[in-house]
Amino acid sequence: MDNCDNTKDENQNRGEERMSDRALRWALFFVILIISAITVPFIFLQSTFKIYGAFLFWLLFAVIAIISVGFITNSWRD
Amino acid sequence: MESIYIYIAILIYIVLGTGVAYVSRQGLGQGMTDFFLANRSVGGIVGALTYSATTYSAFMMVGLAGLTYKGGVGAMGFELIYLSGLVLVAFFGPRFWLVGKKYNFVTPAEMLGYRYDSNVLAVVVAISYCVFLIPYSAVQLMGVGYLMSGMSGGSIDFMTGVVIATLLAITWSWMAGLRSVAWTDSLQSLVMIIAATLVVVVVVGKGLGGFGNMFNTLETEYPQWLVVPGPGLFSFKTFLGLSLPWFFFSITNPQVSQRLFVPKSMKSMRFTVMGFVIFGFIYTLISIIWGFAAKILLPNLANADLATATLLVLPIVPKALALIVMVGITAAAISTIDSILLTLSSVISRDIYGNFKEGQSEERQLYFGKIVIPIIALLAMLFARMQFDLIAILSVASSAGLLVTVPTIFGAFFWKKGTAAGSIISILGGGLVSIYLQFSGLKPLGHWPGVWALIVALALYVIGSYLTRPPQEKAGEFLSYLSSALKEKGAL
Repeated sequence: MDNCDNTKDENQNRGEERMSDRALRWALFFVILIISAITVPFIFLQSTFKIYGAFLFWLLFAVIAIISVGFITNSWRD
Repeated sequence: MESIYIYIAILIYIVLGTGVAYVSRQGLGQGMTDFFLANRSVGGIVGALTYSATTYSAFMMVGLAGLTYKGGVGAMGFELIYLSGLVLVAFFGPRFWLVGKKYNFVTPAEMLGYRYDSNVLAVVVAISYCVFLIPYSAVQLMGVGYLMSGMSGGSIDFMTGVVIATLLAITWSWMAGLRSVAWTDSLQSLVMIIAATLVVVVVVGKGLGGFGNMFNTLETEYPQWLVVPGPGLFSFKTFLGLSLPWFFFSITNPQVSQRLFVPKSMKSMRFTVMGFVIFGFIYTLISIIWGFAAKILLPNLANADLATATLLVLPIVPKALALIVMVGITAAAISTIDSILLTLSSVISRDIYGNFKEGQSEERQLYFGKIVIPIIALLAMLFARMQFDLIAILSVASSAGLLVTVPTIFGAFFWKKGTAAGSIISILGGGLVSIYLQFSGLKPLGHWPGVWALIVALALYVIGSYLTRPPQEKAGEFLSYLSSALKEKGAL
């Protein structure tokens, strides 16, 4: 019985770690995404005088951010 | 355009909005939670629409379009960075909602005061909200003033528009608190987005030969408008200075962060968040395209803020549509102002009055809050009379001021060692830096006030917290409750 409880606790702890890792991974992903949104058009797209330059880049950036929020909130439950 | 048409359109809007506000009174209960938070029972659809209407203001079709007109695609970048700031709600939304329900918080200031075990902190946060949001409300009033004056060719006075907007905001927030605000917001957000979409399709279709032609014209005649820094407005430092405060808007601005207390369930909150980001994405694109269209059709305007009003009176825009758009922009402004009025009223009655006059009943606090609403509105109206040059810059200045609460909010949920003293000096120090830089016009090393205010606030928060004792018991209880509750709700 004790063994069973210990295993359960360990699983729960691993679960907590996974949860925390998940949050950290998302946080890191968003930091990179936001930094790219601030820097990429200024560094790499300064001379792309086309609609597929900064305009398209920021459009895609926003779509990725929206889809990511969709993924995160998908696990919310009551 | 003849002013009589404008007055008729506004009258119809007033009647419809007031009707919706009146209907929303049904089911209005007693107490502050009911008045300021609609009894924490807002569903997903109304939640998404009111969040959208509150966030998006006259700034979009007037200020943002003006920034696009003047500075090109950089305006789109900074506005979409703001929208992506909703990723913060993915982290903070469930936290605000869970502790709001458990401890019956009405305002974000109250929540921070509890977490840091300090009424003084709640008062400081509340005062910072007032200091920075009254100018922000004034910006919205100015938007209505500019619009009506511009569309009528000056026959409607700037202050007439401002007074109409002020009276409406007072009435709709007074009638049933958040219920009337949320329901009128829902109506207004639909008017905002439908009118804006229609007019952009008409102007681009009839005036510019379709979207493909418009983009071709931009590439050939205005190529600088498709890059940053572009025509000059969006240097990297300006872009950063504008984007930074907006990115944190969803947690620093109480009129929206207070909305995180009101969903009736996690599912409703998810619907609110997703509904908002989709709304925001569409509305941002429309406003940007509107600004580009104005640049092509009216290339030599002296004041970019007048681009929208001037574009609307061109012959290619049917008069009825122009009026609907004008109502849509007015709605965008008023839906933001009445939410701010309501939030400031809750903060002043709950966190300032409630803490200074301890032992006051909730009824008494609510009564006081209702008296405060018109007083704040009149202050904003006075500020609007000052008429600064560019709406967007002033609007961002208010957000830059609230940026100083970021370390305190992050620390409340993610750093157990954060203290009230650290928070207080951080908000006061950062706030003073922001105000000083804003008024002096100084930009050390070329960076905007928000950047410096955030750096100073962060440094003071960390130093102050290390030098003082954290409220271990309160923080421990608060965070351990959240730790288990978040897991139960499947949140990060």
